[in-house]
Amino acid sequence: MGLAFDFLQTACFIIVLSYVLTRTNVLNDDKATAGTSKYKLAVISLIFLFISLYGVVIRAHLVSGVYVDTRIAGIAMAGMIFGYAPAALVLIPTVTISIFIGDVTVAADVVAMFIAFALSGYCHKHFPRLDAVLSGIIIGILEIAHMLLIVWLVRPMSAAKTIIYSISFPMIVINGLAVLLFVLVMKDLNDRKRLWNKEKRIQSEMAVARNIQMSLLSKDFEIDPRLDLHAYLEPAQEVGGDLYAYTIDDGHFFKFIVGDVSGKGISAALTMSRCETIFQDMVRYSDNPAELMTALNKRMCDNNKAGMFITATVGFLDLNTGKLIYSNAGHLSPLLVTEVDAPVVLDKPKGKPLGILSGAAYSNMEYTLDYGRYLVLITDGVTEAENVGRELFGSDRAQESVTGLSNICASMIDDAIVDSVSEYSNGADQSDDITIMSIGIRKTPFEYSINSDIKELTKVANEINKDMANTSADASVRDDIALVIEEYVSNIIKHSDKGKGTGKIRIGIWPEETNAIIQIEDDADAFNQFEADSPMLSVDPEKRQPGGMGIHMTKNRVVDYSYYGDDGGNLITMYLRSQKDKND
Amino acid sequence: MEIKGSIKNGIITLALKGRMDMANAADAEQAFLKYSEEGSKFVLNFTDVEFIASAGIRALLTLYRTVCDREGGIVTIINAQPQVVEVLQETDFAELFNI
Repeated sequence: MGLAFDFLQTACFIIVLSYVLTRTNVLNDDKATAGTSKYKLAVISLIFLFISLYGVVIRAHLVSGVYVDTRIAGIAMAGMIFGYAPAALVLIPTVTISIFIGDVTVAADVVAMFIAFALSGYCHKHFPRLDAVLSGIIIGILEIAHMLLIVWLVRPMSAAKTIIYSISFPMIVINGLAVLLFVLVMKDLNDRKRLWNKEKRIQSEMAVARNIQMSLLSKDFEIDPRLDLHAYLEPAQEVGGDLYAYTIDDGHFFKFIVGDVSGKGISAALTMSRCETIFQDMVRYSDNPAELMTALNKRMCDNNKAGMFITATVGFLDLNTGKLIYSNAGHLSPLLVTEVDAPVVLDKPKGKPLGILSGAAYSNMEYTLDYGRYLVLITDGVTEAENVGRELFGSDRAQESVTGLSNICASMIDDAIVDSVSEYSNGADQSDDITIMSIGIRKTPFEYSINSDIKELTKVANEINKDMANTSADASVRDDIALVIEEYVSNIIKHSDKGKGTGKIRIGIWPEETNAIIQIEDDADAFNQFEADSPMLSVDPEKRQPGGMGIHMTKNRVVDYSYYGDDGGNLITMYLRSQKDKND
Repeated sequence: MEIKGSIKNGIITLALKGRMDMANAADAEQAFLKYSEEGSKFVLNFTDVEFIASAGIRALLTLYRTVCDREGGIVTIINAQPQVVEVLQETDFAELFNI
């Protein structure tokens, strides 16, 4: 029983030492963390030296007074796992101490230790993978050799026989078990470490993936002075399947998509990235959302072996008029949010999610967004957010969260929904990716209404000058604004068939630092000055009639315009040249 | 618009101040016509003219047509500001006023 206790002691000692060994990083393949080879050598040798000397110092006592120790095992393990050098560093002190102690078996012990050194070093070179069975076998061989040496070298013969009979079996067993235990513990700890490293590596790759995915989602919401835009997206895991994307096409069409790929995590993220790319590729080539949706669907159906599908809403908003056209592919209905009234759920056109049926058809619906009305798109991460009791947030709560907002703006709407969901879920895990996009038309910062009368135009021109002087627009932009308005509107008045003072003209200005947008609306007959004849420069200046100067100067200052007109009236939006480009 | 005029050696120098837009062009035109009865050689000092639109150009053309038909009639604009220069150049009238 004393033997069993001693063995238990030895076992604990070995387990602690092998744990220390795995924690010192010397086993890392990565040289950077493992340390220099001298450091490694020192650490390893020290540990196995402890094992060997432990055997010397605290021995298992036997009836005959001879002890069983782990010197052989210590040297052999050092040699098998790490090679000759550490084994040598363990061998030399152990041999020295053994000789110093001077047991009756010392000669046999020392020779056995040298053999252990040689054999284990050899095994390390030729059998580099540490194997529990192999280790056990080596120890067995070494112990048998040790026994034979005792028989051979210890005299008298009777003493040798006594020793062999009493200790050979325990020696083999204890050393074998020591080694086996060591190898098993090491293997287990190493496996854990390898798994942990793998997990760390995957985590850092996921962090990079998240950065890539988040950078696909634009955070630049100030893309047009007429547009009040904000979007929020939070994946449930590191990466997710929700998406939003947008662009301004042709100067005044705000084209956007909000989508939700089935599932979440990596597989959804890959599909999301593909969909976003295809949207950006195709968005400028489609006349209307249903057409874009149809084309997008066909592409998403290609190469879709995994059967991923995406719900989406696509919309085109004309910033000049507020007219919105939208299409839907199995996605939640858009919401209409205002300051005063409760939110309204917009009708949505039917359409299957993208990626299922290559020939699926989509249709358009229309709505006009005027100032103060916001289009809000969400994904089901909002409505299906769970609280700790696994109850769903629901669309009623979603609508409640945006009822009664004052000083409303796009970012406020997003924040209101996010805060409401966050409060509701209160610590429960986010079950699905959450996306919110709010879209509105900003109030025209400077708006003027006059009758179609030169005197009124003169008066309002003064007012406009004063107002513009208080903005950030620089002097040349203000000059351009003054000139374009004076020339264009006086032409409207002159040309108008409604008679003096009975037509109405509305002027809107969006001034910026180095450019501006001007919108002019009237109720006269269709008349696009940009297309009318301007008989100007063909005639000798001295003889030329001074008509057409105004539109000539206007054209020089307008880089782009969009015109709508019929006999009920005209609406023109002019984009003034950027002063940055002017001075070259 | 403020217009200050002086005559010396047969040259009428007018210093104009303000914006030559549709609100004020009539003032300028009135002054031009008045002074055109005094002579035909005009120097228009535009140091303080910060802005000109087509109405202003028309006033200038009225002056031009009135005096340049006469013998020795000339209208020169001096110290024109950048906006005025740009507008007169793009309408191809800069040469008429010796800019």
